[in-house]
Amino acid sequence: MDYQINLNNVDYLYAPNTPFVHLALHGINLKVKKGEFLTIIGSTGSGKSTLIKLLNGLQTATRGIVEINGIELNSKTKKKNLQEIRSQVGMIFQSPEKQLFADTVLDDVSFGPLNFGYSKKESETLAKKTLLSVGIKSELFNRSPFELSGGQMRRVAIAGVLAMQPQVLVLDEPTVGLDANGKKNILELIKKLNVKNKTTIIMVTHDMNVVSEYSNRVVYLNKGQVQADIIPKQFFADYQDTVILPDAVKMYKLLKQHGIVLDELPMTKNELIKLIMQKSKMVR
Amino acid sequence: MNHVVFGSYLPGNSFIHRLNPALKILAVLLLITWTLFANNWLNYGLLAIFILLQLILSATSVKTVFRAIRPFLWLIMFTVLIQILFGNQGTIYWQWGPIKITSVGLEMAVLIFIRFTLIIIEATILTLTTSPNAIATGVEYLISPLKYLGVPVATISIMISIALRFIPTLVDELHTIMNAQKSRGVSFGSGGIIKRVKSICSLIIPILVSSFRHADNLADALSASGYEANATRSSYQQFHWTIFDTLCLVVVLILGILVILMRKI
Ligand SMILES: Nc1ncnc2c1ncn2[C@@H]1O[C@H](COP(=O)(O)OP(=O)(O)O)[C@@H](O)[C@H]1O
Ligand SMILES: [Mg+2]
Repeated sequence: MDYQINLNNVDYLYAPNTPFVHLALHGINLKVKKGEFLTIIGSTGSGKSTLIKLLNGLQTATRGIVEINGIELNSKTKKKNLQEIRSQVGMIFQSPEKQLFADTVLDDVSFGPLNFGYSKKESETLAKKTLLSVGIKSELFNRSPFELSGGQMRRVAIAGVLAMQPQVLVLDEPTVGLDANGKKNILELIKKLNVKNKTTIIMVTHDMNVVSEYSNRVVYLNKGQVQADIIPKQFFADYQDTVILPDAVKMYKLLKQHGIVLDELPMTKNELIKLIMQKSKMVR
Repeated sequence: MNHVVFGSYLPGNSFIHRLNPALKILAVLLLITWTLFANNWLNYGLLAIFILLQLILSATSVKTVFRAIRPFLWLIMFTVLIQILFGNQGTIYWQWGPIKITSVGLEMAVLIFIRFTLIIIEATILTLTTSPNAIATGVEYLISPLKYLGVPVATISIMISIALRFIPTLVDELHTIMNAQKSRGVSFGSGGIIKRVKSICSLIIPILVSSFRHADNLADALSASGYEANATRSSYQQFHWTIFDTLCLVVVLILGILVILMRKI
């Protein structure tokens, strides 16, 4: 036990019994503990989005078992349990700013907590606290969300999910289309949730630097199957020649070409610098 | 994805797939008219046989046809029931106040059922075998005489293809937004009236915003590539009128004459 998320031999079929039938996931086994920071990678169409939609019952597995916090999710799951799971598993989709709809920023962020049964007052308190934590100042609370900049809209949308205080946060490419600064802000925010609140993070990404610098586990999907499920350091060692590498690993390889072999595969810039320093001390 | 069949296109290379889209649209409109003219077993039978022939010529399976009819089943059943209960001619089999079941009522109900089914199958064969683009081209061809009355036919055709082009995009976005709102605790179709209105707003407003954004982007892209509303333009996909198209039109017209001749007066 102790697993927050437990997928056992899961298959997912799109459009079963039609000429368009498509096996999007096949034989997926995935167990996730509280507090992990997991990234999911794989090429377009490999089933990443399908996989995460199983985690809060937006879609139910065609075969196999999906269990969240001990509750099994299938087509027979009771509505009450489903709502319970949706309040525990926050889901942030690609371009979440598309889901904004309310008159004011504050209303939009309070929407989730209200739906999950918090009172109006509690919801607003949660919303205000969350908005401040994602860096939206109180002057903006009563503005229309459609008047904000792209980066601000995305932060409001993310706050709309965080305000529900989920134990698990699932994100589908949360930084696509943001500038370098906006991207860093959001990643740091997610990291903070993971470290301080022990929120479990499951993030779909195409950015290998995110995989190496932030996550402590990587799941590599290929044609709907789990091809690898290991720590990033091992992953980039094993798959050096098949995936695009993070900057630190690229540097490692370049140094190696020039005859400088570092003791370990670095995952972050800091690790890289430390390893280079060690090496240079040894040379001297 | 259970509404996948009605109105969707299944690429193929059957005899009917290869016909001119203008002919197919015209033929379907004519056949639906003939179906409305039919009023006895004989001419319905004739039309049914003709539809069977089309199913064979378009390589459409009976399963596909059944799935196309399914969404309309309740509507058909309702109409049939009304016919059965309120028809009041012929031998009376059963009566309760003003409600009675009569022989003519029953017969009418069966005929209405057949009429509905034939029309739906007819429309389904068109959309199954003709891509949205081809339908737009076909419509443009059919309404092209209107340009002599000053109707901007080419512009209308572009509008139709753009609208058709964006349906799947918007449906996709609707799904995504629906999923996002469900994840924020909305359960569509439950709760009190205020809650329901709010749920629907959380879908409609984002979709409207998104449509406007698409329209803006498309307008920019069109002007950037030098689009001019009134220019004459050629099209990449050419449809030729062949001897088979003429043949089909003749057959459909003869069928119409037969249906009218067989009418019970
Ligand atoms: N609604 C759908 N109907 C049918 N097939 C789908 C649908 N959504 C996704 N697919 C198919 O399932 C596969 C996996 O899709 P997805 O999970 O979106 O992949 P990813 O997020 O990794 O790009 C793809 O081949 C895609 O075409
Ligand atoms: Mg995806």
